[in-house]
Amino acid sequence: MTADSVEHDERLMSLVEHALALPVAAREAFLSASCLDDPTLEAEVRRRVRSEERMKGFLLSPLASLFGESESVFQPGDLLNERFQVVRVVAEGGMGIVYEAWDQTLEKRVAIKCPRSEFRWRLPPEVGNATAIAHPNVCRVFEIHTIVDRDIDFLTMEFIEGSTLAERLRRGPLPLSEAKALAQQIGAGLAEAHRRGVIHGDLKAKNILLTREQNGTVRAVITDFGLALAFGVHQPTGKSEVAGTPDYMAPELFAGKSPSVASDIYALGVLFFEMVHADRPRESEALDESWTRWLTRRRRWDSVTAKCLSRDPAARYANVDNVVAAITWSGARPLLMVLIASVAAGATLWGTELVRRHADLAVPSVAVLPFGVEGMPPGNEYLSEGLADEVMDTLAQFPGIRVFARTSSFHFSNTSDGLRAIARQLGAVAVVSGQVRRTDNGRVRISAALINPFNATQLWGAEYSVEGDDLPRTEEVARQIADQVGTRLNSRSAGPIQHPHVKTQALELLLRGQYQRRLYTPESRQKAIGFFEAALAVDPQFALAHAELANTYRLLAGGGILNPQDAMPKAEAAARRALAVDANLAEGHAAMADVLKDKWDWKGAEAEYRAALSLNPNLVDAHMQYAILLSVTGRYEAALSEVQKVRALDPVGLPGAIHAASVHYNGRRFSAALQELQRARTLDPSAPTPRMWTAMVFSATGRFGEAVNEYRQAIASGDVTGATRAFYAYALAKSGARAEAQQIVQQLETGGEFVPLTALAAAYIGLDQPDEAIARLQQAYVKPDPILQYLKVEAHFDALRDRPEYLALVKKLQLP
Amino acid sequence: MKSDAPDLTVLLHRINAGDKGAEGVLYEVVAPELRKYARYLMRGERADHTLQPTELVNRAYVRLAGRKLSLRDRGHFFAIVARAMRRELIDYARARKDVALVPLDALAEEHPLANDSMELALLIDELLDPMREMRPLECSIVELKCFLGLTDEETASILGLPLRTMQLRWHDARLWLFERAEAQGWQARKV
Repeated sequence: MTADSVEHDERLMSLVEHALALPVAAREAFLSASCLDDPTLEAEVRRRVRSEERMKGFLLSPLASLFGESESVFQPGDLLNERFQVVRVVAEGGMGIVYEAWDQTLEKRVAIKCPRSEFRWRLPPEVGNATAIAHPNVCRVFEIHTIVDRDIDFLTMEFIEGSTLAERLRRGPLPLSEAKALAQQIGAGLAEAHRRGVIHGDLKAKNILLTREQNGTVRAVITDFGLALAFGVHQPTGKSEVAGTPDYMAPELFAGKSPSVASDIYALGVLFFEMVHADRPRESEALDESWTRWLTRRRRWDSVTAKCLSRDPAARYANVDNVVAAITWSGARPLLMVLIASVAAGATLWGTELVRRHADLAVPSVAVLPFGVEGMPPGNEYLSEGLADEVMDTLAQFPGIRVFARTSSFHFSNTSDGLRAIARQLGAVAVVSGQVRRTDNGRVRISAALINPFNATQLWGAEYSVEGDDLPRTEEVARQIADQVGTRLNSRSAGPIQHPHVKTQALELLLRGQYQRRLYTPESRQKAIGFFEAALAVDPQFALAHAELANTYRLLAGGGILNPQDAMPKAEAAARRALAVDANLAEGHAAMADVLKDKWDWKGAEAEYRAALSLNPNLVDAHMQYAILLSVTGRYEAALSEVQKVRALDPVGLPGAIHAASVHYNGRRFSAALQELQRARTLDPSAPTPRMWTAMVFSATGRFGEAVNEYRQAIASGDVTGATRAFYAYALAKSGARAEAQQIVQQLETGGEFVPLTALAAAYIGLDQPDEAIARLQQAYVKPDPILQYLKVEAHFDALRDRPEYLALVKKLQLP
Repeated sequence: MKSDAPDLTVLLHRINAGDKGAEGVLYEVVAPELRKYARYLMRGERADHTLQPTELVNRAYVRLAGRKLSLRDRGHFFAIVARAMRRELIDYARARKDVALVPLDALAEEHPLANDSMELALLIDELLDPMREMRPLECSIVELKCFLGLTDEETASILGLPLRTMQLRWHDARLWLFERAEAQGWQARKV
């Protein structure tokens, strides 16, 4: 087997799996979006997806299990004992089936568990012991009920929404801090049960539920207390045969002893081990090896784990309280102190630097570099920027941390020169830099570091490992990195705002979509729509994907790729859905603001921009669009102040400079605009946009010859739009090259290239055909063409200002 | 118990060398465990945490071989157990009177689910013999997945294949069986 074929299988099957995980309706969009660059692969993926659809799950469940009827005891809609209405099956486990149900008497949601096997439909009374335990970390057991005529018992319990620790660990180990927090909670619950005289008997990762609290913290809840005991799972049969969950079973249980506090503590030790390794201590040598490997990082944790796992029950802790005390007291204290010390020293060191640069912005500012990607199969390029984006987005939600925009951050490289440049040009006090790399054993390692750019020293670093076929989990790693960095930079911070939890697979699709959208080609934007829709098919409650869909539809409508009359209602609907799902999503408000601005609803748009920016002051695009809104409605000073905020977040990015120039231009501060454009050209001498704007300024100020010259060079560099050609025609006509101008207009009117009607109107003004110009502007209102928002401030329209049709349009647009 | 059990390593080596008798001996050794597992499976208790197939086979293996796990032997052991399991389940299916090979359509009416599964199991069993001739690896995958109920990860690790490669071959194997089963009049009656 060659490395190539392994890689081929990997890529092929992960795409197949991905597609199949989507609803059937979303598969086509995903397929055409994800492997367009490789038609052979696409055909192969498609063929397998089709055959899988044809097979309808053929042979997917083990044949053996089909021999028996997997009976569901209750059906949704059943009313049990005239009190509990069954809603759905939540889980089917070894001991029984768990249902969600509605308790009509107490009017609350409960979980119902009933044993599944036909000869054990009565619950042993010991199960009732668990009703004595009332603790936040123990799933509350309410009562045993009997359906008399069916001779079935069922147990009512607290309904807990969430996943199990086992599911969480399938995605890789927990960072020590999280493991510790969970261990304390599990320990607290277990200790309380023991105080009540209840032994768990089957403590394991599958029996720990993780549920997210209102405030965003995670609560661990132990379930199935005493059930295993009641069902006699551990009953020794006289032979050397034992049933149970062997990995968690204390050695004495194999010898036929009964479960005890000590055996629960042993199981707790297995859980501790599992939390930081995502694996169980199967063999003693594995345990020993891990001791040495992790000695420096979590010595205390490991020694507590080892003591719990002592073969001799007497050598373990006497009770769970002692276990909790031992881990609580410890942690990675030495390491943490080093970190605090270095951050504190750094803060003073950078303090002076910072005050000098940004006297008004005395908050820590951080730049995130694209992650290095190494040895990953093709198709994963998006991870480089995707991970960095995710880190930035999460960081940006920490109050009191300033995150530089991607256009500024991605400008630099992770070399010592690059870092110095970041310190010098951005004034960033910290840089996050990372690496994604595939290891020989097929896992993917993601490392990240927080670096002081002034002296290139590392302030914090961590490494995370995920399964190679589990790349969606990378998003979670990004969040963890951001959380770590965020809390280190800003100890006062309350942490990021919590948004509804998003399915990881949906997030991966979103990242792929964002990557495509930023490639700025019509095809990539259409691909982006496919990805966003696929993300929403996986998780319709994914607010950010709705917002991104809105943005992309707007871009496609504005760029003439989609008919605005079709695309803009879609954009609006998507923005509304984003806000309906998550009213706290800054991007959702920004998307809505953009939509309202396109509908000439200036007041509504302004309110939405303000909402977006109060939720996330680091949202560069929203600052820029708000600045435009302010400038087209004639509020130059306010627009300028908004642009300054962009500049603080994006000091060396082209968009910041261009928007500043555009605000000056709209406010008729032409020399300020030219200065800004001069600066923009030093940032990226090859970019056509600064040239194009320079030409616009020349043209607006009557310097037609210079304008024509600039337009020509911008056009020669390629990559200019129909709008630029239309303004070029204006300048040409004004400079006397009327025939050439007419030829261009002719091409624009008849050719396939998209040109906004508003820009075409400018060309007709240049050609001295005001009636044509007015007609185009009126069409632009109907179409609608978003560029028409510049109607009142655009200098090229000055020739029309006395025309009644023009004034009527201004009035219709409600431009002040 | 361990003292009177035959030496597993020796048995495996004999089986490797093509000794059919040795396979029978090994089968007899693991059969009680398998029958118990099969009974659980037949009651639809696949998910029972006390009886995960890997745990069960591992435990049988450990009991027989002690802790001297050689990866190759372990894979081989699993393959043999899976085949034995197939035999066990098919015998069970054949023993059920109501599955005597009646025309397929007539079966569907009475006990759709149970008969469907029995019928499918017998059909797959029939198809697996020609499959072993042409595609031995796929055949082993089917036995491990269908009759032992292993997960993709477990199957890949036992066969020493990368996960995705195993999944690809598993897909191929299912398609191969599906097309032949369809040609013989099998229809997926349930979703």
